[in-house]
Order: sequence, then C-alpha cells, then structure tokens
Amino acid sequence: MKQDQLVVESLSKRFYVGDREINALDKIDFKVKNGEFINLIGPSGCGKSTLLRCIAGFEKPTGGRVILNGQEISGPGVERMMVFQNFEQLFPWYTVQENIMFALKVTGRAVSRAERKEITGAYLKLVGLTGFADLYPHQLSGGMKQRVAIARALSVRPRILLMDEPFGSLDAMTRLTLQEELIRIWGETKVTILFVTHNIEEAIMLGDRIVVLDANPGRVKAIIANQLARPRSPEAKEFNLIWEQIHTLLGFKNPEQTKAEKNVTQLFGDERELSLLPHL
Amino acid sequence: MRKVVLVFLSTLLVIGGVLGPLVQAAPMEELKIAGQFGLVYAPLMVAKARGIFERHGLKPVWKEYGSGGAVREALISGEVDVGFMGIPPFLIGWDKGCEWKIACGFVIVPIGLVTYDPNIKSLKDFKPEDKIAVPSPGSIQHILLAMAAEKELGDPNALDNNIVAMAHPDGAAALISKKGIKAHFTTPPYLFEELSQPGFHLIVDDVTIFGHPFNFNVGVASERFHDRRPAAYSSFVNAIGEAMAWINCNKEEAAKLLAPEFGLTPEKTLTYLNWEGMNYTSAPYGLMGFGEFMAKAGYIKRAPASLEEIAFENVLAIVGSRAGGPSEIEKIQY
Amino acid sequence: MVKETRHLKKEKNKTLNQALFIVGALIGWELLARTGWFPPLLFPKMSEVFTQLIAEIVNGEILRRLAFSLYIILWGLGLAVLTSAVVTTVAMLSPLVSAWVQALMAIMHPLPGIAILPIIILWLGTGSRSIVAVIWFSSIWPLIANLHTGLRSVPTTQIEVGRNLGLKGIALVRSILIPGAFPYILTGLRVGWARAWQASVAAEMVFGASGGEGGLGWFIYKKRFFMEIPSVFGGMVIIILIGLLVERLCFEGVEVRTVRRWGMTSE
Ligand SMILES: Nc1ncnc2c1ncn2[C@@H]1O[C@H](COP(=O)(O)OP(=O)(O)OP(=O)(O)O)[C@@H](O)[C@H]1O
Ligand SMILES: [Mg+2]
Repeated sequence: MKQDQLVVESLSKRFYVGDREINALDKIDFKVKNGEFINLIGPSGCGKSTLLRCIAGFEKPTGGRVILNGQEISGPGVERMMVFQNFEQLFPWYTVQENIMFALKVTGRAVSRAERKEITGAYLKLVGLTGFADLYPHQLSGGMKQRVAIARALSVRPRILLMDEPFGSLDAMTRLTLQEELIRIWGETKVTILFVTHNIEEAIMLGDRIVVLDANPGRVKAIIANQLARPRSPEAKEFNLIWEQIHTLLGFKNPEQTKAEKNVTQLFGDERELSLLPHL
Repeated sequence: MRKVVLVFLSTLLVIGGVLGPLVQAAPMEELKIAGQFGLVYAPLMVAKARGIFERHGLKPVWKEYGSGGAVREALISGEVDVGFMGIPPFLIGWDKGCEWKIACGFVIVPIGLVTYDPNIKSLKDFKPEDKIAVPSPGSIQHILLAMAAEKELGDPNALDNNIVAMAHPDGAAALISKKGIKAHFTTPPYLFEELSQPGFHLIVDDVTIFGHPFNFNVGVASERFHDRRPAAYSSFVNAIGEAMAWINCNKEEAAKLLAPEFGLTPEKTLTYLNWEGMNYTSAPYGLMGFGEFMAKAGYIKRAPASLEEIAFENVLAIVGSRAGGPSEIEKIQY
Repeated sequence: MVKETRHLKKEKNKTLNQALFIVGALIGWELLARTGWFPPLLFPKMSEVFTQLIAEIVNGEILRRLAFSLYIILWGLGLAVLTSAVVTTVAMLSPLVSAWVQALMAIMHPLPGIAILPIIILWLGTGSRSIVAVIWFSSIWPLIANLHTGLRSVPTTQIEVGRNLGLKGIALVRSILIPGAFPYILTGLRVGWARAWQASVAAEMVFGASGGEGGLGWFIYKKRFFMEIPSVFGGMVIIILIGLLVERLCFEGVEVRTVRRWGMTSE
C-alpha cells in the first residue's frame, strides 16, 4: 500500500469582502497517495481553485493545514507546481525552450546551460513539442501553450502537479487529445496529480479518485473511487454509472432529463460537457 | 483711491488722445512702434500718456517686447515700423543685411556690472564658475563686457563662458538673492536697486569701458519706411524729440506720471530720473565706436566705414562734418 | 517568417516614402527661397543652412553643444528613471503612497516642465543644475505613469508562476515584473526621452543656460541673437536628426528585438 503523500486536514478558508464573509472552504479533509491522480469537481464557486491555491501555498488557509510528506506547507514551493487554465502563464519574452530553461535555472535543477537544454529537449518531447522550441508563446495555439506549461511544470520535477482546469479554455477535440496525453505523461513520470475540472466526463476519464465538492460553504461531499480500467472509454457501462452518481451528487434532481439533453448534444457531435450551474 | 483716480485720469487721457484728433479731423497716419519696458523707455510712455505722437499727426500702435533681439525681429518681419534697441543688436542686423538705419539717438543711461562678492573688484577676479548675467548674447551689456575683457584681460572672449542670459528683472532677482549668479550687467532702475543693497558694488561701468557716454538705445527705422513715408518719418523723429524735451523740463511731473507704470513712488522715480548719468536726449553719441570693436572681435564681419552707412540724414545733419578735422560731436561718435 | 519579411518590406517602403517626401520638401524649400520672394534673413536657402551646418560641425561648436545636451539629458533622464523606480516601488508596496502618486501625477503630468523654470531658478539658481531639474521634472511623470501601469499589467498568473519557482523579492521583480512591464517601460522611456529633449532645448532658450556649458538650445539662442539664421536652422536640423536617430536606431531597434518579437504589442 502506498503511503499518504499529501494530507489536507480540516482546511478552511474564509474571504472577507467588505463586511461579507465568504466561506470558500469549510473543513476540507482528504488524503492523496503518492502517484495518485485525483480529480476535484464541484459547482462553480465551490472553492476548487481556492483549495488548489491553498495547497500550492498561494493562499494562507484560515484554518487547518496541508501536510506534504509529513511537513506542513507554509508557502509556494517548487515541489508543488501549478498549471493554470490561463494561457498567459507562459512568459511571453521567452521562447518555448527558454521558458523551460528559465524554470530549470531559477530552481537550480540544472547548473550548466547544456544540461538545461538537454532536459528541456526531453520534456518538449514528452509533451510532443519537439521542433517548436524556438517559437515565442504568441506564436503557439492554446493547446500548445498548455503543453508547454505542463512541460515547464514537470521539468522541475515536482512531487505534485496541481492543475486548475488546464484544459478549460480549449476546444473539445484538443481537450480529448490532451487528456490522453496527460494520462500517458502521468504514466511515464509517476507524478501525483490534483486536477480540477468542471467536466464530469473529464473527471471520470482521468482520475483514480474523484473528490466531489459542495458549494456555500465549500465542503467535501463525496470521494468516489474510480476503478475503471485504463485506457478508459465513455462507452463503458461503468462510465455511465459513475457519471450518474456524480451528477446526482452535484445536485441535479432529474438525471433522466439531463441525460436526454446529453443525448442531444451527442447527436450534434458537440463536446460532451455539461454545465454544472445549478440554475440550468 | 489714488489708483482709481489715476486710472480715471489716464482713461480720460487715452480718450482725449483718441478723440482729440478726431475732433480736429486731421488725417492720421498709423505708426507701429516697438519698445521695451523700463526707465529707458520713459519718453515713449510720456509720449503715449500725453498724446505727443497724435499731435504730430501719427496714430501710434505700441508694442512691447522682452529683449532687443525680439524688437529687432519685429522690425525685420515688418511687424513694426520703428523700434528701439542697443547699438550692437542694430549693428548685428545691419551686418546681416537688414536695410535699416539709425533715425535718432535715444537716452543715455548709466550701465554697470554689479556684484555682491567683496572679493571681486575687477574682471580679473572672476573665476570660471562665477556667472555674469547679461540680458542676451549680442546685447549692449554683452559687448561692453567683451570690450572690458579685451582691455583688462587682453581677450574679448575671456568671459564668454561666464555669461548667462537673463532678462533684467530675473537677473536682478537672482543677484539680490545671491542665487546662481555672481554679477549682473544691467541698467536703471535695476542698477540703482542693486547698488542700494548693502555690500553690492560696481565692478566697472560703461563710461570707463567706452571712454565717454553713448546712446543706450537708438531709434531704428527701415529704409523702406524712411523712403516711402517721409512725413511719418520726420513726425516720428520730432515726436521723440518733444517727449525727451518734456521730461527734461518737467522732471517732477514726469516722475508722477511714470511712477505707477513702474510701481514706484513718485519720489523714488524722481530720484531715478535725476540719477547721475541719466540723460534723456535724442542726440547721437558713440554710434561708430561699437562697430569697430565688434568687427575686430568678430561679432560682425565689417565695421561701418562712415556714419552715412548706418544713420539717416537727420542724424548726419546733427553730427555734421567739420572741415579740417573732426568736431567735438564727431569725436564722441567713436 | 513569411509574415515577418513582408512586414519588413512594408516598413522599408514606408521609410523610403518618407525619405522621398523629406527630400522633396527640402528641394521645395530651396526653390522657394531662391525665388527671392522672402527676405533671405527670414527664410534662408536650404543649401546655405547645410553649408553653415557643415561649417559649424567642422569648427566643432555644434558637436560640443550636442555632446553637452546629451550629457545633461542623460543626467536628467537617468535621475528621473531612478526616481520613478523608487517611487513606483514604494507605491507598489503601499496603497496609500500609490494614491498619492496617482494624485500627484494627475496634477503634474499636464504641467510642461518648462513652466517650473522660474521656481527652479529661485531654488537652484541658474546653470546646468536647473536644466537637469527641468529635464527631470519633464520626464519623470510619463516614466512613473508607464512603470506603474506596466507593473500592474503583468498578469498575476505569471507572477504566481515565478513564486511557484521559488522567486521572491528583487529576483521576482528582476526576472518577472520588469520583463513583463517592458512594453510600458519602453513607452515610458520613449516619451521621457522626447520630453527631456524638448525640455533641455526649451529651458536653454528661455534662460539661455550659460556660455561655457550650454547645449543645443543655447546654441540656437545665441545664434538667434547674432542673427545667424542659417545656423539657427542648422541647430534645428541637428535636433531633428538626433530625435530621429534615437527613435529609429535606439527605440525602434529595441522594440523590434523585444516587444514586437515577443508579441507584446497590440499591433
Ligand atoms: N481573492 C478572493 N477574495 C475574495 N473572495 C474570493 C477570492 N478568491 C475566491 N473567492 C471566493 O471564494 C469562493 C470560491 O472561489 P473559487 O475561485 O475557489 O471557486 P471555483 O470552485 O474555482 O470556481 P470556478 O469553477 O468558477 O473556477 C467564491 O465564492 C469566490 O467568490
Ligand atoms: Mg476556479
């Protein structure tokens, strides 16, 4: 049995806006094992990003703590690399290669330039961007940018990759490709991944376990173990079971109706995403 | 209260000046005159206040400029018909081909180089970092300084790196506050004000440098104006003469009239008008001396060979040309 | 790549066009001056302006003046860059100071640097120090404004990536904030330089600097009083040439190599 790598212990986060108090996270508890792929899903505003940012160390929790390998975290650290949804996360003044080399340099991961170049080449190969090393971020597509961001984050060899809807701004096709590649990369690097998503299918396709969060206040509603055999396919029978389970957990009263909608969207070959906005 | 009365009176005067000639229905010729501000220009102010030009059949349009250079530019561009400036600025223009001549002498005033620094007793005592303010490069003060530098230091350009161009009031303010400049080459009333400060003293004055008094300003007219409008030209010369004479004969009244213009008391204005060396005259003094020096020092290409080249016939008539050697009045032109 | 060469070609065409226009205008000037309709004192021939300019270059005066102008601008602009860096840093750290700086900027920015000259003379006297002060005052507001907006415009995500990589304090500023704000910094420097250049010339023309240490403004001022009009135009030509040279070689060169290459312009 693998050991618990990351422990989130009754983590709370309140924001104060004027005299309003926002209870973004309320006593969140869960544990992540080494090398696990965890998905976080929940309605908009339930605190997914906040949770990830607390783990990354960008936000100070108002209660509870985050423990990584037995040590409480107190700020950002290179062993927990974040990949954002935002395409702006690459440094526009560096080429693809320089973006990664910069990360290697400031983290002291590689001392000589030659070494940095070599490592960069390896990670670009990992994300399938060999040959694009000398392009600047503005010359890349959205999907390519996210690949570079993943390569950069992985290049400094974090223990955990924190991904906040990294594919959220991509079109459905690119998203599917990148999901497959992420699974491959995860397999190759054995890195632990915490992956926030809005999209039930994405959660089922990727994670070993799915943490379903509740909004107002942000709480863990359920943690679903996802034992689906890899490679996974949405056609599998169990897929639908988990889908319905999450769907109900997220508070949609009438699974049949939304299911019908889902079929319609499938009919149009549209992306299999479902809005999780409760009022829809 | 006094001010109100004054404003009222001067309004009356202006109205009188404008309406008076209308009543007489004399044909008025417009004359655009460029002057500057200061005690030197008192005759222009008097002429304005007393309607002297109007009496000579002219309708004056007054324009005030900040420096002799600006007056010169106004003349060249045809903005004005006649203007008043120092002999050096006049000669620089003449040298560059301006077709103009001197129509009359205009006031003699004491000019002096003043400092507050007890260690500076002569030009030799100026260190390279000591700044000397003059109104502008090429101004009469600048040329006088160069003349003095040639005499005392052997090189007309010896102090060129010390000069700072500043308008008279700025220069006076800077000197009195002892900020930035060490010495100021200036004219009344600034000269008088500076010299009345404790510890301020004269390093050198104009007469010492030049040898005798000379016109601080001259009236300048273009040949075109002189040739095409002879009547207006002589009216102008006569009006200036009348204004000068009036000041000389009525100093107290003149002081009263001028005091509000300068923001001084009539008593103080009178002291200034009577200051030793002040001479309201339209006679020519020292018209030729500057040319020779300026040509030698390289400020102009050549000096005028004779007075004829730079002065109109009325001036030539005053100076005359004595057979068998120069007369006294001819001598003081050099 | 293809797009870039096409862009370059277009630029070249534009430059050629502009050069042709300028040459045409100069020839037109020369012809107009030769008609003799205008007094040569007011409107000298272009050929005369250039012969005079060459003479002034050969005798060294104009180059000495130019060197002095550049020296003094470097001082003023350098001090302004330093001050704006300090002010912006403090403003970034304290919202209160930030509000003050913004208020000050709103008040001071529209004030032409030359307008403060009388006060500066009272405080600092005449001489180069005052001109440096006027240059400083003229260029500091666009520098602060741009630096301020520039630093604010750096996406939080990039700053967080930097922090994630372990960067803090000065290192974070140097390797993330400054490059991120670079487009604005460049604009600030450009405007600052233009204003500094204008201020130096204007200040010297208003109070004439002083003989030994005057720059181009003083050169023009002096030539004006000695009525050497072709030299006045010559001084102007030098001012224009330096302005163009710095813009084209310096700023555009930097811009092409940085901001444009990085795709950080809206163009
Ligand atoms: N910096 C902040 N200041 C104040 N409130 C904040 C801040 N960041 C987040 N919140 C609040 O915390 C709650 C959770 O926000 P968070 O961004 O974590 O949600 P999320 O689950 O990531 O939503 P989404 O799926 O839309 O990205 C929201 O109510 C939000 O308004
Ligand atoms: Mg979010």
